[in-house]
Amino acid sequence: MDVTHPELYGYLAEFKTPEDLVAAASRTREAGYRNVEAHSPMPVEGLAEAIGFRKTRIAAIVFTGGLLGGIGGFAMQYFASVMHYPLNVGGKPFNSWPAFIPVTFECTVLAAAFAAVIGMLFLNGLPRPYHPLFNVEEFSRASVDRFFLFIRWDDEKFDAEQTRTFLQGLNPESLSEVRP
Amino acid sequence: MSRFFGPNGNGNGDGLSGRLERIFRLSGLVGLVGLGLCLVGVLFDVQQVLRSYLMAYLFWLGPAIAGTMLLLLIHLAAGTWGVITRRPLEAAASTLVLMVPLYLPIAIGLGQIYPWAGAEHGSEAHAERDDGEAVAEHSAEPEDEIGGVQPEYTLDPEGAAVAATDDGHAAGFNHKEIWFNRAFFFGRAVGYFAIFGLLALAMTRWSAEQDRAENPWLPTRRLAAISGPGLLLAFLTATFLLFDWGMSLDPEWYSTLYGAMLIIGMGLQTFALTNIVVTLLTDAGTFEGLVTPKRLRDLGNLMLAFVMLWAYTTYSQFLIIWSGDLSEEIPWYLERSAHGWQYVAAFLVIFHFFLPFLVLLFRANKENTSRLRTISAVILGVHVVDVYWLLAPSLGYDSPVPHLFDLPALIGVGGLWVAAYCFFLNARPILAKNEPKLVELLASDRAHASHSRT
Amino acid sequence: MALETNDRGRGAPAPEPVLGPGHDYTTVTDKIGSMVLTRGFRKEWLIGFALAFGLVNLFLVSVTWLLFNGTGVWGLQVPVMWGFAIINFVWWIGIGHAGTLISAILLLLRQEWRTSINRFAEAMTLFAVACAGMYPILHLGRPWVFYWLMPYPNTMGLWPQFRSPLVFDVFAVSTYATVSLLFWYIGLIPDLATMRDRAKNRIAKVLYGIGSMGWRGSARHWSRYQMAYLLLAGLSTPLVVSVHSIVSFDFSVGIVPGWHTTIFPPYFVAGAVFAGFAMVLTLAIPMRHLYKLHDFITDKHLDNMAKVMLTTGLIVAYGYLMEDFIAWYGENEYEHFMMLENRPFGPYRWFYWGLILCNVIAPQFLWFRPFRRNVYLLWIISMFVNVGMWLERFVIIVVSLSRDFVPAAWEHYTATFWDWSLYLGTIGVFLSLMFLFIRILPAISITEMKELVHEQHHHAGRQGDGQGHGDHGESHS
Repeated sequence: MDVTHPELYGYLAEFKTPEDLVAAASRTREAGYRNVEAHSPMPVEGLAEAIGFRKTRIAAIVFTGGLLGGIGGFAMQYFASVMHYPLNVGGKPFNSWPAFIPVTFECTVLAAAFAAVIGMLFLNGLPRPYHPLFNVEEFSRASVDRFFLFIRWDDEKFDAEQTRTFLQGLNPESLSEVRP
Repeated sequence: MSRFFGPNGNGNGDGLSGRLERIFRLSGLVGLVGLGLCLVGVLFDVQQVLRSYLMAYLFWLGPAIAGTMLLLLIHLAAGTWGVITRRPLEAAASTLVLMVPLYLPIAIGLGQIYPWAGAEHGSEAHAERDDGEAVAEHSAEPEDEIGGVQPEYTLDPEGAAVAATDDGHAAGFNHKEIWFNRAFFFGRAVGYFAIFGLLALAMTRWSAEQDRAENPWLPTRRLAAISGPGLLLAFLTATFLLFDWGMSLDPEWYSTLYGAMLIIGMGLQTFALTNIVVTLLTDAGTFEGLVTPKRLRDLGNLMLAFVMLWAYTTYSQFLIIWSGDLSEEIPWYLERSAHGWQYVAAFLVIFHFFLPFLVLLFRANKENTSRLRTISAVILGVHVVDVYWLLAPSLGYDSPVPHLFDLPALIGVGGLWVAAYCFFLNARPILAKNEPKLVELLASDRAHASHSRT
Repeated sequence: MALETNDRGRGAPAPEPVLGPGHDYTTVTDKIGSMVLTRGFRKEWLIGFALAFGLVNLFLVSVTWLLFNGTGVWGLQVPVMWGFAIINFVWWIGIGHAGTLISAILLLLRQEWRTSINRFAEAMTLFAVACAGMYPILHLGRPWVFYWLMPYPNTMGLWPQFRSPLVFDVFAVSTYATVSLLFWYIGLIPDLATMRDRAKNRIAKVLYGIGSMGWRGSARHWSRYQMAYLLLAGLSTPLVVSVHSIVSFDFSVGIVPGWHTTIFPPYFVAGAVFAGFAMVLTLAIPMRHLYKLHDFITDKHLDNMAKVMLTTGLIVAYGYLMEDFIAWYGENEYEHFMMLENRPFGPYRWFYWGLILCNVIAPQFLWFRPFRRNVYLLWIISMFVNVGMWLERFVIIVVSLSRDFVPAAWEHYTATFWDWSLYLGTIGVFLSLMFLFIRILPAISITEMKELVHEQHHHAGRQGDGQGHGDHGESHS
């Protein structure tokens, strides 16, 4: 088998309710599979934990973004008003820090918001127009009303036959092979 | 003696009752000692004791006032946090009973406290400060002492300077004479106490009825019905209360935001206090698993919201007055940013806002009882400084060095307040067992528990 | 001990659902998706859009005329140099506050009823902010050099005047528009994936596919997505407060009588939410009727929105009261003249009394349930508020500027045809965008409705176990 371009990308099992999916995901993980992915039309509580995903780094990214934005915002105003072109307006000091706070705040929020969105998309590997899962016809319901469990080919325990039998044992609505 | 406290079994168990009773006695004793020291101080400097007492009084009035308001708020629109904090807030609201008699010294010493009633605060200090650059810049001709020819309320030298440089100011108006007419002033004070007393009474009584009633529907309805109009009334009343008792220390100065700003500070103070109590009770096992980390987080988040609101109102008022730079407004900030007060202001910016804000952003700090308690205690402590910064400069404190009597007054009023609080907290079960929200909450908890078992 | 409760709480009424009965994942998708994924146009939609589009043309003519002749075509004159442009700017930006409030603050407060109105309200925010943003730019006189407002190194060696709230405004409004857009778009991604998977039309499929960025609903993705969304909500909440506060600084840091008062920031924010909810109601009530969305936008939603409107209306009234009281108490003759003589009894008194009627008196009816539950009455009250908030800005800007310190400088202000036509024109722009939005994007978040369905199914087993207090009990757990 070609390691980078497998013929079989993995197996996709379809479930009817989120509870079934969580249960199936837990059993798959207990069975030793690690490259497991679950797909659902809406976020399901406990599902990420069931497939072994614990911590997102989004919060740290957003915090850093906000901090940099805030410092940058204030620095910009300080540079412009004190260093680069000091101008006496209304007798106010050059470093009118009370008046610099609103813009500093806006810059903080703007940078943090961009950090949140770009960080989320980057960590999720989006945008990604093509994915082998889209080849499976049933998968179009993953955004509507069905819940899917997917085991990828590069899992250490993955075996075309055994994995198939294992997933069948979870009583899915349907089971599909995913081809790239 | 032991049954004096919680006489007919409040359902909280002997352990908690005993502990509360010990705190009651200890703090009551501390309070009496503190007030005793103040009484001794009266022999030396009556006016200074009254100044210290006013600050202590307004600090401890906070939870009584804001407790009632938060209580109305939780009946109006609150989720789980309202169920958990309800009895502690009811206890806080009930302490108004104590605060009414404690107002008497202020009422008697009115002429020693409020400039419009004839009080003079630290006149030498003011004259000395007039040499300072900051003030000279802003009030064109700083004048020295003024005699009795001026109307009572312009005795403040800076105010007089304003009047001298700006003929338009106060010209032809006698509104302050009307507003600060003694009878009118005391009439309003009675009104404030009456309104808050009635609201607190209604909330606690109906809450007690809800506990006892066969069918708790009626008191529950009543509590919900009073909450909206009650909160409106309470907010207005508290605004004018703070105008009268706090803002009028500078009779020339005014700010439309002052009432709301101080109410929010009081709300933060009350929330910090309530969080301390709730976390202590949680650690003592009183809530039996009702206070989950997630619910603690809600309490932390609400406190965070108050921290942010405090910063928002404080900053808004500052920016507007700083930018406008008008002679009748800016002295209030000049007083509070000179002779060491600027360091207090910086301290508040850091410890009343930035530090709690940053610490409360992190989940782990909100979900752990002892950490949340520590943060709340810091906020409560720093809020003393906030009240001090707001009031003391108007009371002739030229520099932020506290006076000898400030601490006895603070722990004097505070000791009695804590004693009253413990008494009321112990008077009833910690959870209002008939509250529909609690019933629903416990049912939901049970359902989740059985669900996760299967 | 303490935790032993009884079931006597049963006397209370059962909590009202925020989603009609009998819905599952499929029906929710179908119902909301069908508003978008059908061929042809509804008659009502076409008529409404045509009217709105007519006003868009009026807008284009007004802007052309303005650019051709300059701001002299408006009623501006010394000393009233702010006039309609700033009134409408503040009015629109105020309306733009409800969207973020509903999306962000109610999300943080876990008010589930927000779900069916947040997408719609966010879109409203974006379009209202777009309309708002046009006014200051057109008011510049030379709108083509608007980028001078941004700080960038330039050959003139100049920087914006960072002490000025007008520069704060540039940052606040542009940040607000950007963050609202991000928030809205992030919320849309999963729904665009649904649309992609449901669309029959090939072009629509590709377009929705591009918009959805290849969203697959992976659990890991959801986890990061939810975190990012929550943090965006956390950021938007202080942002939304800051924006209207900064708008209020435009007035309050100046020393014009009637402007320079410290209550302005919170009272402007409350006014913005007040106006925003009024506009949401104004639009949601007809839309719900037209698209038969009674299962998603229930009476309870309208009731809750009415309550928010009442609350914020009372805060606004508190602001008026404080202004008037302090004008009396402060004994400043200019403030006293402005607040207690010029506003109620001056040449623009009818604007003032109209404002009191619309903003203070009309919302008081919302204390009573029948008014909150009757869509016609509610709609009429929300129209009152829309008008009232416009009058408020008129009173603040025109009444103060036209008669400030020196009577010799006083001048009466009247708007011209082009003031009104531009105002109506932006209403047309706003409505056209709303019509287009309803037609091409899911106006209710499908994903979040599914979460609601999940929640309902999940909790169905314990119904009757305990009853919640009717109105606000949903925020549990």
